[in-house]
Amino acid sequence: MEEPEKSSLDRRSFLKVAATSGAALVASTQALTAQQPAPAGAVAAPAGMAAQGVAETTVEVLSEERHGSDFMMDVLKPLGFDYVTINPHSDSGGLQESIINYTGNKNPELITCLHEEAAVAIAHGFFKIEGKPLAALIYSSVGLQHASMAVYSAFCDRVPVYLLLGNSIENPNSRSAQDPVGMARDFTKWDDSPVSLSHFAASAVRAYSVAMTPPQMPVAITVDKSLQEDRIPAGTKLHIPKYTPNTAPQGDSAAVAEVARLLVSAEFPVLAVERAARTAAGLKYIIELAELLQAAVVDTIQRMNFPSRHPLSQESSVLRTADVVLALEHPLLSRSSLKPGAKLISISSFDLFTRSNYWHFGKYQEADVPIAADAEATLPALIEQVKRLITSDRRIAFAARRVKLAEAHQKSRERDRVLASHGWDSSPISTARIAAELWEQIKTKDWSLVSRSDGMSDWAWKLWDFERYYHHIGQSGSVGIGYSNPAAVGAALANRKYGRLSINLQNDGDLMFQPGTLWTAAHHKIPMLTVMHNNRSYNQEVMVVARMAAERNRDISRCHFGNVFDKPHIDYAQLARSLGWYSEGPIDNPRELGPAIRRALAVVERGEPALLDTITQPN
Amino acid sequence: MNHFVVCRVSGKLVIEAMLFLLVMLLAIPSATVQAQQPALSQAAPSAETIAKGKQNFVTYACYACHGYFGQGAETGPRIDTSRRTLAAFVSFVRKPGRAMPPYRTQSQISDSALAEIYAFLKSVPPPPDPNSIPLLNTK
Repeated sequence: MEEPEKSSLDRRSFLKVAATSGAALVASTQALTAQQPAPAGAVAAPAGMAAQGVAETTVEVLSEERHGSDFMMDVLKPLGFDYVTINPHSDSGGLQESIINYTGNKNPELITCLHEEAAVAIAHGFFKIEGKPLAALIYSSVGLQHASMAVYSAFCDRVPVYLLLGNSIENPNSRSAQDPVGMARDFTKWDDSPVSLSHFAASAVRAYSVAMTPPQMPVAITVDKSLQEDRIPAGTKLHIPKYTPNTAPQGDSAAVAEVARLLVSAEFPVLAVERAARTAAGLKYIIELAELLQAAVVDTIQRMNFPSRHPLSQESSVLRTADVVLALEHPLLSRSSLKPGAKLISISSFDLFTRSNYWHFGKYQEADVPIAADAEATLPALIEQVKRLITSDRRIAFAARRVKLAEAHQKSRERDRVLASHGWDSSPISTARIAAELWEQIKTKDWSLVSRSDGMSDWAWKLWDFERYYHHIGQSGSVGIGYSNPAAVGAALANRKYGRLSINLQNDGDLMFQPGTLWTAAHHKIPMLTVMHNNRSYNQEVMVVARMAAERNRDISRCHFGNVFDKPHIDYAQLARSLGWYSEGPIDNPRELGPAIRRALAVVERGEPALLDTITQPN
Repeated sequence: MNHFVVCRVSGKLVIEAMLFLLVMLLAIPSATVQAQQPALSQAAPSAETIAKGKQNFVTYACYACHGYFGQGAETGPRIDTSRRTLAAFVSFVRKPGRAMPPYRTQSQISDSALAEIYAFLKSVPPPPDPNSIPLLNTK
């Protein structure tokens, strides 16, 4: 982990001013309810001092001269941000300086990003491992325009990111905006542009609360340059609101009882899960419900919802045979994918907040029992209801169902094993071979896949044993290219303190959107192994254009135009080396892969990032 | 899973099918036929033909779904030529009737180019037995 830059605090002469607010400012990140307001008659004490271990009740402060951004940190620090990702800019200099010197660049620590999109996507990936949002400090106008794609991904993926947008509206410049969040309001949950420090305190805490309440989403607070930089007059009374997390919305008890009745009496119930497990608890609940019912589980793997090798984990084709389908945070599951007459139950927070412009919500879901609630929060009550209704007869029927499902699961695994052997020794290297070679070397370690599992033709998901919540971070939400590399760095950053081995299966096209993120990982010493899916193209689009040309009876041989990036080939190993990574490649001989992985893992286990540029089959 | 619906023909039928294709092609204007002649030889395909087939497999984007050796992926199944005639292969590509887009006409891809692809795919060794691969037999 990078050593925080030495604070200048110890080089200055202190003026001792007694303040008695420290307890509020060392609030546990796990128990944010501990936050207390600053004592009446005093500006809140400097949070960084408290965090550095100064007695909680008597805090030394630098001087009586304090600035708006110092108070902003007094408000933000107790919310528990571990890091603030930043692409620096002139309108946030005050807040940046307060992070560095007032709070000592620790909790939060600045993570230097070379593009605003990366700053937000790193925060996205971090949340999916840690369950805590990061703040991203970026420019309100030109910065947010860069970041907007990543904000949209987080919005679609139901991930809170806390945007702090530097702006200068009191003394406007050519980059000022009168409504900076306007361009992102279609894909943020809430925003505000405070005009005073009291206003900032109230809105900053509200924004955090809104972001963390399911459905979780990005929020934005504009921080005006003058408000950051102006001195706080002595004796000013400023209040920091107490933050208490909202209880997640749970399903109506009568509706939940009806769902339990339908599930227990069903002949072949299926749990269809998408973003159902927000936390490790959600994973546990889904396993418990599935095993109580011995019900098939179909997972779109947008979260780590269900273990990959669990016998009840089934292929999506079983939806066609279900008489009752329970869709958990799966608003896009279409009735057309079910057999006629099947009951569709939906528990989802999706309708509790949405926006109208971007159609990430898809077609209206015709559910028979729609419950607008957070699935994870509703599952404990549903499990209790199911337990009450299961009779000994049903238990016998459930046991028989499990046997059949376990057989189907085993057949599916065997089919995958056979398919993995196809092209085993081919060059370019098959993606199945890459997954298998990796698994052989990580399976006894505490690993975490910090990229999408649907890259490399799902081979990691098919061959690895995904069991724990942090084994997988799910997908991007928006399906936008450019998410994967920075999100992987963010997830690896979260894994670092646990000593977990972060593995990133990296699509080549995606890496080229934010290659500068590699530097961020090297600079901040974020250990991770990136293995390239280097097929030298946007292969999906090759297929799309080939289909178009075929159906239009036109020239198929030209479908590479615009889709393939060869001549020259991109040398990802050299790129990574130039940005501070250990790297090897290009590797196109499958026999060289195992030893290369071994060498790269040794580097990662020393605490550094490593990249293997593997030349792969298209899919 | 496999795209092909025509299958299970004996070696004798393979030859008959190729002869049938030859007869059909004779009805095509001579310039086209000339271009296709090399592929219609019943002798073992030359290394040059196989190399051309490998190149055609890329040029006509077959690799994008099926992999560079037709080994298959989730986007397109393995192309198993072991029990399929050239005629059946050509017929399927022209009118697949399933997820695969149809390469209908000679102008899109000639029969001779398809024959070269067929020869290339025939040259690809069968996949190894997964039981013989230690990495596919671990927990």
